Amino acid sequence: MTFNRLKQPGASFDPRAVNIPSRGIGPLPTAKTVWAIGGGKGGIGKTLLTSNMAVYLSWINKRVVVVDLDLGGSNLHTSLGVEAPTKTLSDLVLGKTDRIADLLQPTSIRGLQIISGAFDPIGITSLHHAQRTRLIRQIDAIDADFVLLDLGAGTSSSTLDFFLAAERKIILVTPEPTSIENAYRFIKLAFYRMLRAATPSPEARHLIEQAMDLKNAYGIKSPRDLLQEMRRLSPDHGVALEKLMADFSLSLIVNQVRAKSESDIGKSIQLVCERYFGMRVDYMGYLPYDTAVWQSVRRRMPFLIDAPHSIAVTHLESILRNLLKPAGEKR
Amino acid sequence: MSENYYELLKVSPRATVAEIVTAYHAARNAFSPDSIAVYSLFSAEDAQTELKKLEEAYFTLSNIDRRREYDRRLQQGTVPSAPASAPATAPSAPLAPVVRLVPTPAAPAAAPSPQPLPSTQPFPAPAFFPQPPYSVTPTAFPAAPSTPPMPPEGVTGAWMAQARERQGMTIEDVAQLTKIPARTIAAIETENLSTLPARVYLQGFLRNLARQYHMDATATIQTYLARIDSLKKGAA
Repeated sequence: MTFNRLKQPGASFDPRAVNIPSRGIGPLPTAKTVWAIGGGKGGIGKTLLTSNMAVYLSWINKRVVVVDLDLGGSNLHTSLGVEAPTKTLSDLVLGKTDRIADLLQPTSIRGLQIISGAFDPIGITSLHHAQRTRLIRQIDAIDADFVLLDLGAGTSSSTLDFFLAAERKIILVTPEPTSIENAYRFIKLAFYRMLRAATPSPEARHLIEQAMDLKNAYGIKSPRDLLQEMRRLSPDHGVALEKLMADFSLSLIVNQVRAKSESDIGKSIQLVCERYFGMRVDYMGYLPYDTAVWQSVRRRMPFLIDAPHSIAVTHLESILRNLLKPAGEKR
Repeated sequence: MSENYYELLKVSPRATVAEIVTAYHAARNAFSPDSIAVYSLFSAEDAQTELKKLEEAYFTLSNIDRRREYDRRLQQGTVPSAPASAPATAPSAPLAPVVRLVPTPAAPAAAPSPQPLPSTQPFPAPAFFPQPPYSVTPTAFPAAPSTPPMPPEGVTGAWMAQARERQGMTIEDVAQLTKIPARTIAAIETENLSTLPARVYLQGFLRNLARQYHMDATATIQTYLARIDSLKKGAA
């Protein structure tokens, strides 16, 4: 099986041909669902995961749009075997077009379309607030069953806002201290940004801003401390803050796992995050380190197509089964 | 924010011993000093505090008698309290700038000058408990003995069975936790010479079981193997 056989836009693809069963999936959400894949650190496999999840979802007859929001280093099209895009998000941001639908490009997989990120030398890496809001509104208007946002590395305001705008917030880490450290920073900033944005009271917002400074005068070291302090200052705000924290949840995936002990990292991160932030974290599973995946990347093909019998495919399927379950359901 | 031992271990109040042990091991892994998951979010000191609390919770909930007593006190709301995470101390000096939140009935209408905050204010009572606040102080329960007293005549199969029952576990629970086949655990407890595993394996199983039951592993292995040796001689 080669990607060339699938070159025709709109060509159908039968998952049974490569032994990709869709067992255990469903019932699926009926309304459109936006998933954002972030993690703070670059090179941990966000694009790889996004593209393969998108292929899988389209194989189970869902209309999927992937949006490359790695505005400084878009390459999602490459991992899906799409030629250099002619229309990108730059056209929307710079006002060359008004409709995000104009940027949709077909791929060789039926039901899967892509919106490429910025692709010009100037770049649009730092969007103004109004541009971000408009872009989020446009993404929300995309007609599809699933919209997958491939976020870039770092913790820019744009990246955090795209992440927060998604219904399913997926954090990808590799079992390395640097990746986990960056992921925690990403989660912390996104979490405090969400709290600040959702808190109408200027006084409460001030306390949240203070909490973001590790050397704050209140001795607040974690969101749990913040909640404690907020309750002490105003029980009403404490209740509101607690609800915000409880409603915020993340889905966690670990990539490039080489040993059993590394797969346990996911559970550990889940426990540590829940303890520190007081939020719910659902551990969705892990992708093992697999040479077949590495070779697929070099061939610019999703490993679902290039290496359908690889162990990574089994794990991806398990991850997707978990992701497609309603939030909070036992995994 | 205070929480009870079940919330700390993230298990249901109706959790089985096996579930409690599994939850404890996962949490201990997460907060151990060499865990990369805890790095950069918790300081070494705070991680140590978390571990201590987890151990307290496990010590109580893994023993059927201690757990029963704890449940009783929870129901009565007489378990005293400590902060669940590293305490966030309010600044001792007046706050600047003053954080004045939406007025509540108890709050003053205006704060013309920075006012020291009240030192403590009870949290809303969790629905699960009749009376706030509750917490657990290290002195609330007798300190965990490092090893339970060993029988003077040495460890026997019956003693191993009693040790398991003291933990409130069935043979199947222990088998699930330790990965030792249930029939082997049963053979150890009944001192069934024909089904006991080879000495080298038996030694490992005994060590594992002794850890599980908080017994002295070395003394358990030595005395139990000595007993088996004498039983074999007697049988011969």
